[in-house]
Amino acid sequence: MKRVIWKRACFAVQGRSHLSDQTPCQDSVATAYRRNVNVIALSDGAGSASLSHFGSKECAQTLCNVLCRRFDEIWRMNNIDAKLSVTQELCRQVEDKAHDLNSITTDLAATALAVGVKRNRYIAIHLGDGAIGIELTNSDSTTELKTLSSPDNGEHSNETYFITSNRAAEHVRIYTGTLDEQRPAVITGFILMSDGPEAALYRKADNQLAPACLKLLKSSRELNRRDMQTGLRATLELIANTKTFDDCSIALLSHTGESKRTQKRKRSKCQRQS
Amino acid sequence: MNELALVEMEDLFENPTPRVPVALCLDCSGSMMGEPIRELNEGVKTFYQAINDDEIARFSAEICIVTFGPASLEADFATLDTRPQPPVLTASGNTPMGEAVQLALDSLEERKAAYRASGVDYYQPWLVLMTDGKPNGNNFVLQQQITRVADMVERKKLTVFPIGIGSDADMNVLAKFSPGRSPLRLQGLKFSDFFSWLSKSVSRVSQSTPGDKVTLDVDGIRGWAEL
Repeated sequence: MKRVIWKRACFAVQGRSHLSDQTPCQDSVATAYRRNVNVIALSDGAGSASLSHFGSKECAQTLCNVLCRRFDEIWRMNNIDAKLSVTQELCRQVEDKAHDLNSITTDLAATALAVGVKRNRYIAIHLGDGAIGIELTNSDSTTELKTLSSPDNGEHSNETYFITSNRAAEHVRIYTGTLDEQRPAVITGFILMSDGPEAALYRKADNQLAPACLKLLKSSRELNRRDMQTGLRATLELIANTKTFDDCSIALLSHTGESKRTQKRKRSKCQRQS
Repeated sequence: MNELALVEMEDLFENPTPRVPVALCLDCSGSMMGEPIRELNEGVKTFYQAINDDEIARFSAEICIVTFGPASLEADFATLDTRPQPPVLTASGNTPMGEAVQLALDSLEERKAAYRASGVDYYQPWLVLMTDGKPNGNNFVLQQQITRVADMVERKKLTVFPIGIGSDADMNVLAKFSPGRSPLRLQGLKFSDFFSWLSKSVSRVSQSTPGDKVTLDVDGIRGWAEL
């Protein structure tokens, strides 16, 4: 009996500008499942930072570790303490990596986006540009998208905040909630995107996510792991070839239904109540 | 590979290209008559042509042209795909530089408000200020605009390129508009070389992504400026 109730998928592709100047892809993605926590994470290295591809990898991995290891602790913290604590841990890891590389921390500048789900609760973390979206399934089984966290740029297009920025903790956003907080609708999926696919999947004018996000989440439920990776890669290449010159990355976390064990437990509870 | 994509093109948004607003504030006073105004027109044409030839800049650079004297908005902010030809500039009148800068910055503020209202991203705006003489408009307005520009530059809300034309250009006033970057004097009437350099710089900005440091082509400046 399979007990998989969340599926994770992620991919990153190099953008046209980095292909032409032979710069490595500076976006990194990671997923994890430990201690009953499902995590997806994504990080976009700063264009001007020479080792930001290492920085983004470190950030994405650390976000997975933090959310798996400290989910309940962060959940209980007040928002300001949680921001400080998460930022400190990310900074510490990036500093250590910079030290290993005989470099300075700002060379590893990168953004941070992550979502962790444990049973009925979620924590989302966002610093910088890119966006976090949620899929809501209504009681009639229709689905809709909502932007949970919109891109945090400065006034100008080529400005944003990185984990190595001064006062990064002030710009970190941490969201905590339950999957049924928008009852009768239930959160059944999360999507993270860097600023590359943001050009095609997010509209700033009305803070909306493109219908493509629903298709990606649906595919992530229906396809096996290998086909999903192939499809996600092709999707990101389509966007990278037509909509942006930047690197493109996406991470998806989709609810695939309750496990048989949970369904059985619920049935028993109903029977007892009746 | 794209036939394996999980989405169709119509599932994606068509977002507007982030804009690079460039305000050209150009001295077209009586002293520019003859060869200088002809060369300036050629230079502006070169600028338009170079931007038009650039795949990204054509849709991202929005050019506004304000001339003085008198201060006049010859072309409001627009991309070259909507307005591909520059206006023909003529020389006459005095040098009301303060009034012209005021007009350029007021137009810029209006444009930025329009960007924000329609969710269009934009890069740090540029102001190119070119003169061959001393400002002789309202001195109060001039001082007010010097303070306004310097403040915007300090707060990283504006990049200014002050350029003197010929030996009579008041480089001291131009310097006041640009804390941190000294004004440059054009070599002779090398307007086309300057505008060619400017278009390449605009192109670099239009391709930059968050965190990119856009560095100016310093070697290229030697091609048109007296250093």
